[in-house]
Amino acid sequence: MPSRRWYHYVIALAIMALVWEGIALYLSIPAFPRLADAASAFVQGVVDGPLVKHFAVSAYRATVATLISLAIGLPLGLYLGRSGGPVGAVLLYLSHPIPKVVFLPVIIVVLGIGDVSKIFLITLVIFFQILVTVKDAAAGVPRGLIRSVQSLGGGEWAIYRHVILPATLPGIFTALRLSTGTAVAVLFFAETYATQLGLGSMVWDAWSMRDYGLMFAGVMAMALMGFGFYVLLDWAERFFCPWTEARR
Amino acid sequence: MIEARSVGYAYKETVALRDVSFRLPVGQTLAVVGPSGCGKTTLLSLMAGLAPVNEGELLVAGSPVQPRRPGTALILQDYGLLPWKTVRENVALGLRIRSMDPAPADLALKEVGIAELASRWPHQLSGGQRQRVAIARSLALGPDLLLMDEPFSALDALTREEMQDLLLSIWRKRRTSLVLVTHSITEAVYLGQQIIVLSPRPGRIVGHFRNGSVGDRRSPAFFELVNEVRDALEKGVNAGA
Repeated sequence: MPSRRWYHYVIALAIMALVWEGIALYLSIPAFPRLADAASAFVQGVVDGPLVKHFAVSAYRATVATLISLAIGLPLGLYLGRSGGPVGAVLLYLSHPIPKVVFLPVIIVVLGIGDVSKIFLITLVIFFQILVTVKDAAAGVPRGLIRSVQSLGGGEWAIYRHVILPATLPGIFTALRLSTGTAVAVLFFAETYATQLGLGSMVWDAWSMRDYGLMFAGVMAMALMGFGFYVLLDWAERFFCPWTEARR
Repeated sequence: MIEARSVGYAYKETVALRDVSFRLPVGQTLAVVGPSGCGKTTLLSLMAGLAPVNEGELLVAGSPVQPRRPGTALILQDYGLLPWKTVRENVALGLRIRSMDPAPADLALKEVGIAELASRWPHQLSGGQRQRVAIARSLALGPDLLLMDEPFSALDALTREEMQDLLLSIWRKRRTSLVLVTHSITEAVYLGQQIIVLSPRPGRIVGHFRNGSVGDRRSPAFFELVNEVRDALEKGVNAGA
């Protein structure tokens, strides 16, 4: 991977701004404001506070959902990959492709309309992504490394601790990165019902009030949240997987 | 140290080994040679207790072989270094798994001459250096029996001889019992006080030699024994075909 420098980011941002302005000028409708209008609405939203409040609520929901998915998906995936039988594999094969968001009505009936149901919906979606990735990574661990730990006197616990877990870590981070986009998307969907809080609801409100500047400020905030998660994951991977860093 | 009495091994329908008998006294070396797929590695796995003996009797240090015997160290063909552990962590892994003091790891690194590479990652090392790490990892456990599976097969000729010399000097100093599986006849004759030749699958002993002069690769006696081992190997292969 070529090393990235600050001006690479500047160039990339400039391209994105150009594309935005191009579309805004071409369409020239109120629903697609110029970059400057959206940016000033964004700044206004931050200064006045609502954007920060909505951002915090959304980030909270996405983070809790990710942590729960990881807490269950990681150990379960490691176990299924290492010693899971065919029933577990078939169960996963059958349940993974089911579109989870269509369970929204059921979730609302069972868990109500509060934060719990929203977090549950996001968890339901990204849990499977993490589970499948971790399981496949754990199943693909070279047998020679397992034998190596066995030959040093290691039992099943040592195999998990020193081989399976570290071998799957980079894959886990890849899964988390992919989940970030999904989590924010599902978040947007989950915040369309029964809430006054969260970036999703803010965007929908702004839309219905034709406050397009604020609407785009919300879109930018969601994009920023996704990017924030990305940066956080990059940092965490560098910390937890130092051996991949040295390979770059 | 090891006594094999008519040891055989079959997995499902395949018979890998048949009627293998030998005796390795404490502190001596044994080299096992044979063509690919003759069950050399299987024999080593049996000695390491990684697979159950299902025919005959295999004694290690006087008692039937059992898994995870603390004094037995196995060095695998591909070194088995964990990519996510530094050289030092790899060498200390066996000690850590057994909840022992990690201090011998640094001594072992010094013993094989790579103390300065302790904080490198395995992928930053050459083949010979990785081999040294694998040896250090076994030595750190202070074994009385060292089992090696094709340890030097991936190395270039000069590095290979260098590693053979290193192994020999370690053996002379520690007097660890040593079993070495190899497909190289010269390596077997250079390192083995006893040399066992196996036939193609199912592996049987088709030649058993004693070698008075290990650590010698230039004398006429060395070449003579190399030829004898080669004859036994070829006879075994032809008999099987």
